[in-house]
Amino acid sequence: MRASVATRSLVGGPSLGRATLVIGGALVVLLASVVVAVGLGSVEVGLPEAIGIIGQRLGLPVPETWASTAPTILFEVRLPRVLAGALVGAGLGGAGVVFQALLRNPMADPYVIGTAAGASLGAVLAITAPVLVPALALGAGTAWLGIGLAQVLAFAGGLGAVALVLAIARQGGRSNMVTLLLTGYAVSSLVAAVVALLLVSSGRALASVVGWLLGSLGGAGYPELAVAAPLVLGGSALLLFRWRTLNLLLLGDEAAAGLGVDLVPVRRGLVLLATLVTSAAVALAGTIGFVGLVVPHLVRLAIGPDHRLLLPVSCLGGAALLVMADMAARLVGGVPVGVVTALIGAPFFLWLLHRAAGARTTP
Amino acid sequence: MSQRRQPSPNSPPILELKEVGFGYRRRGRPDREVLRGVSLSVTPGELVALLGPNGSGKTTLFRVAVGLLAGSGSVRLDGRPVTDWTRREIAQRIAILPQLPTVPDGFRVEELVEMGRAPHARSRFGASAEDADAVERALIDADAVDLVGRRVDELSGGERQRVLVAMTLAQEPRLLLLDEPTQHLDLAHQVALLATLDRLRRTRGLAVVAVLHDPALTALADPRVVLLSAGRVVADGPAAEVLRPTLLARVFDISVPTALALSGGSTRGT
Repeated sequence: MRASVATRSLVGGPSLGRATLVIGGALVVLLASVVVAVGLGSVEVGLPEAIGIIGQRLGLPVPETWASTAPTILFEVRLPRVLAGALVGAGLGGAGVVFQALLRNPMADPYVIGTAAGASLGAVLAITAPVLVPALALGAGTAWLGIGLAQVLAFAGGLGAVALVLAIARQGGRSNMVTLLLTGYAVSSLVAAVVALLLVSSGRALASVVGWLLGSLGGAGYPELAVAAPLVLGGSALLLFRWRTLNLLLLGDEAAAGLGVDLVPVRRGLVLLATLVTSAAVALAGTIGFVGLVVPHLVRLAIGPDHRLLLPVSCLGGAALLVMADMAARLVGGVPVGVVTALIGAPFFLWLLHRAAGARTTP
Repeated sequence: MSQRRQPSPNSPPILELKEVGFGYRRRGRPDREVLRGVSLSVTPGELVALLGPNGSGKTTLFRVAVGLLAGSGSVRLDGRPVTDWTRREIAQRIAILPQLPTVPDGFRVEELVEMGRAPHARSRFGASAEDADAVERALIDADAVDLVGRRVDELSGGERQRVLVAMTLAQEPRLLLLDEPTQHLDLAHQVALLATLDRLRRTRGLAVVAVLHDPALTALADPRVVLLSAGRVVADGPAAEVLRPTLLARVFDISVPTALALSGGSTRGT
């Protein structure tokens, strides 16, 4: 009976202790990276000053050793940027997990399958349309209305792109990995070209074009964060409540259906939610690649495929990774953060492809 | 091996197929009739072996039975059309072991078996004591207790099959549809699985329909045998009546002596 007693205690997913440890650990990593990122920058506000300023804001008796402009730099420039990085990273990490489970494809992420590109087209349309079509400027005049338009169009664009990619990739039966990746690549490239065209013809500086295509966290302020945060966090929370379904989808369509999953509405709901999260992130920061691919993989290797932990930890891990990547981007002189994530992510992607090819030839 | 106990004739069927036909479609046009006028009912406590050549419609029959494919004719589950039930309600009553299941990387044996509890899940993030009991019973019944703690993708084919059987048992359905449950299993585990299914039908009134390929093994469990050929039921009755070498020879297109040898050398019914 010893074996069966041991079995019983294993049922019910990760124990509370393990869940606390894993999620707590990821939270600590995220908080540490936020603190470091807030304290580092090109302007003279160092880590000790940053901690002092935050301490003073919290009502602690800290002697003022910093210049009078320092709090402004910290709270108006750096902190919103770091928070935007955390938010966008969390959204991309979580959406990556969901797309990988949905498509049962380890290469899927919001960037690779075109969702991010589609969302960026929508967001850029919202920005440039008032310039190209002056009549629209009236409606987009107020700040909150402008932001709302960007979110809505980003969502529509993301949904359109993912629907297009899935429809083409599924032609002639089940979607296989190569078809999906190639379709995602083609659609993304096409959409990116249209985005560049729109931005250039709206008379924007080339830097802003590059920022959109490669992703940049520089443009985010508190109003934008206030719109994106509920979408990303709320969407991720709703996805987390679907952990059981996400686990079952890994068993394949037939087995999942046999275990009570109503595939068509369930898939539709998951695509909608993951696209919502992605598009909110993209509307804030443009298309940032590879976060949604790398983070879920590393987290899966570390803690296993159970979505109860995989999803929240990938959100936290994505947030930490993007905060640190953006810090690196700032420190090397303001390259778009997407350049840094691509430098990390593209080799990782190639390694995954190599490994997948190896697994296929040597079963 | 089994003590014969026919299900009581007045217990209502859990699954009832009447004149079921199904054809896959290609580009919107009917391509090939896979099932033709199949009538079959299964009552609680019955063990049914489904035999037939490759492509005779066995897997399609399962898919139609659980409402994954919709054909002509009527499919009733617990007296109501299968289309009236939600997927979850169907999954609470019927568990299906697919022929070619996908086993995702990284899950441990007990995690996979616990997925069988999904249709009964009530708690948001954990499992109930009931779930834990069901998983434990299933692991014991499928002889998979010794595999607990191991990663499913590192198991051998036969070990994996035992875990998948445990997963369908953890679902605690009233009807089990097993598509080639003995594949990859060694002889001892094939015999043990059939003995377990026979015990579960007797003690818990579980109904089982299992696709089997080995007439000798089938005869050992002494089930009701349904013989499917080109989408039609060509025989349905006790093993001793259906597994006749002459009939097997005709359906499987083999010689009578070969059929005789394959059905365990028995001369009954010839």
